[in-house]
Amino acid sequence: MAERWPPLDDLDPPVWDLPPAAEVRRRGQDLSRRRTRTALGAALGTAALVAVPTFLVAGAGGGGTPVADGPGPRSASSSVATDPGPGGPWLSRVPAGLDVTAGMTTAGGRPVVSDLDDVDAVRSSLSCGEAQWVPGLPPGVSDLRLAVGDGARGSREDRLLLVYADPAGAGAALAEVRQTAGVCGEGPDGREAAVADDVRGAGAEESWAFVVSAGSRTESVLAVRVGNAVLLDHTSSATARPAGSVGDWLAGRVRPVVDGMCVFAADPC
Amino acid sequence: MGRPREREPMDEHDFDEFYAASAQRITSQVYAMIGDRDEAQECVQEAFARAWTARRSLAHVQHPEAWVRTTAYRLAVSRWRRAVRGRRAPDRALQGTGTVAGPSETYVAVVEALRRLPEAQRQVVVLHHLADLPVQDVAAELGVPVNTVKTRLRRGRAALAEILGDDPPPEGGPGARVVEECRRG
Repeated sequence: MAERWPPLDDLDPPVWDLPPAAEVRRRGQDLSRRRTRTALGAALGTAALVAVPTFLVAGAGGGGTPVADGPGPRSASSSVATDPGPGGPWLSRVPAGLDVTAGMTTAGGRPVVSDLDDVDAVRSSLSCGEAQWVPGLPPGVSDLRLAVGDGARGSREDRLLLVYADPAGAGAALAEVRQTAGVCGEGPDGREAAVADDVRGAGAEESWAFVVSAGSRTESVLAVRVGNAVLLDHTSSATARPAGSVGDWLAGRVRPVVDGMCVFAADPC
Repeated sequence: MGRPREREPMDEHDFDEFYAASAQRITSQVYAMIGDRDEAQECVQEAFARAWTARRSLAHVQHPEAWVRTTAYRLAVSRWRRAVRGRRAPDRALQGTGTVAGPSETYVAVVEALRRLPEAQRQVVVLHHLADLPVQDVAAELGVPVNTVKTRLRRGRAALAEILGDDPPPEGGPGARVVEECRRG
């Protein structure tokens, strides 16, 4: 009887010359130390004004899936929502083809992208005022991408794409972002905050922009939701912009990403 | 064997067992996914290093092996990695000499053929046929519906058969040509 070809199920895999486990653990410890230094540096650098969703870490979006503390635990509940709802089931992973860095500042080099397993990097971004360190990853989030880029003259841009179990979870998270943004704008240092609703040009199902300025710095956040995904774009720069124009300015920059988020819509692209 | 206890972070012994039990096959699977031996080995090593770092979180993950495999694959395809690969010195302590026993001609031919498939089809073929995951588990790992996996599997297998031909390489079909191309590098 002829051998089945291609012989996918009977392949003899190569034998690899792998380093001992102790060396891998050592590398992991080095990695942990580097991450701690990076996270602390980022927290100190952004502690003053960043209007960021700490509540996302503390617990958001009721009805979400359990914490997926890694890139791909093989359980159906963490990959596709069990209650599909209109247009479901909802995509629970960020597709490889969705480039969250599209349109980002590149003056300081290519943005660094972190995944769900880069817990420390995500924690450093999810802060408001003084950095708050909490265990675990955002409950209800099944996948995420965090991109951090440095621009010219000390500007910085963070983008956080969060995937929830369903649009209700994403919408609840977005509402809490806005609530937290308001609290962050009530600082003691004479900061001024403004919110612009329904940012034109964002192309999202929900969108709003938040701007807070203090001294020479302006922190801007554009929040959008498409289906069960939320994108938060945070820019810190020395350029003062009114809330209305900031919304449109940010919307233009993130539009390629928002367009790609159509995969999370009820009627996906 | 080798799987860390759930709800309790791995200690060194657990990790070493987990690594010994799964590193070889994960490296082979990632190699099949990306078609680059050195990159596969490096990414899997880094994924295991991250697993050690994240062992508290990993204790709550149902399938740590899937976690490592996915992390390694993401590392391999991430733009960040491609950007920094050229300027970061490799960790010499983690560098082996590559493979102890080179992959068979058939394995190389299949990997070379897999490289010609769209990424989505390649992933499901590797996870289902080389990692022996049921279709449901492949769907869960990739975050796509089961029917999507089945469709990609069907198309991927058809494409592989087209590339490799209907007969094993020694009979001189297109698969033999792939093997020959691989020999020439």
